[in-house]
Amino acid sequence: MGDTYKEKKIKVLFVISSVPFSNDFDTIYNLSKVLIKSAEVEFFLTGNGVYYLVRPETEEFSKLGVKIYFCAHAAHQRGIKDIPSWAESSSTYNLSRMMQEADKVISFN
Amino acid sequence: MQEVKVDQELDIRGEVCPFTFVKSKLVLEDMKEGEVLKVIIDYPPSAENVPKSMREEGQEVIAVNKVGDRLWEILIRKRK
Repeated sequence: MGDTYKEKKIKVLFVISSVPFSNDFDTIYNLSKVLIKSAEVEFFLTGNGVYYLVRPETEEFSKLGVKIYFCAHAAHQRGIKDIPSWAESSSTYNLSRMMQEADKVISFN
Repeated sequence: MQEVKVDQELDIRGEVCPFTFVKSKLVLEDMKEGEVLKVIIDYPPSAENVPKSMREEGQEVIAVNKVGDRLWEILIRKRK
């Protein structure tokens, strides 16, 4: 034996396509605050979920340690040009890869 | 930059994410290792994400050239 068992954090992916001004925002925030203590948390913003990029409070998730990705196509369609530095451009193809790698996928739509 | 020999060209102007990447990937799958694919696109989000996804898949992105107002060519060498 001898090798110490290094607990691997589970990976939780939130797929968000609901607008950031619905009740989901608070639900997602409360969930993230708890999960981030014992898991790797990632967001994928798609559809109307890309409007999270224009809501200033979304940066709080990044400060919590959440990695935030967004569908560049959906943002482009909605005319969202000013992309905050805490968000990374991505695509639904990448989402398919992220879903395979995640332990749990929670969607808000 | 040294001229790169292009083995195949894929013109997917008018296509948007995620089809720009999926179509590029399908063509690349039928090519031999070491061969170069030139992809022509006219969609800004794809100009950013196709190279990124190709690198993540382990392919070599030789260049991303803006060749027109809304026109890019992406040179990809098949590595795996």
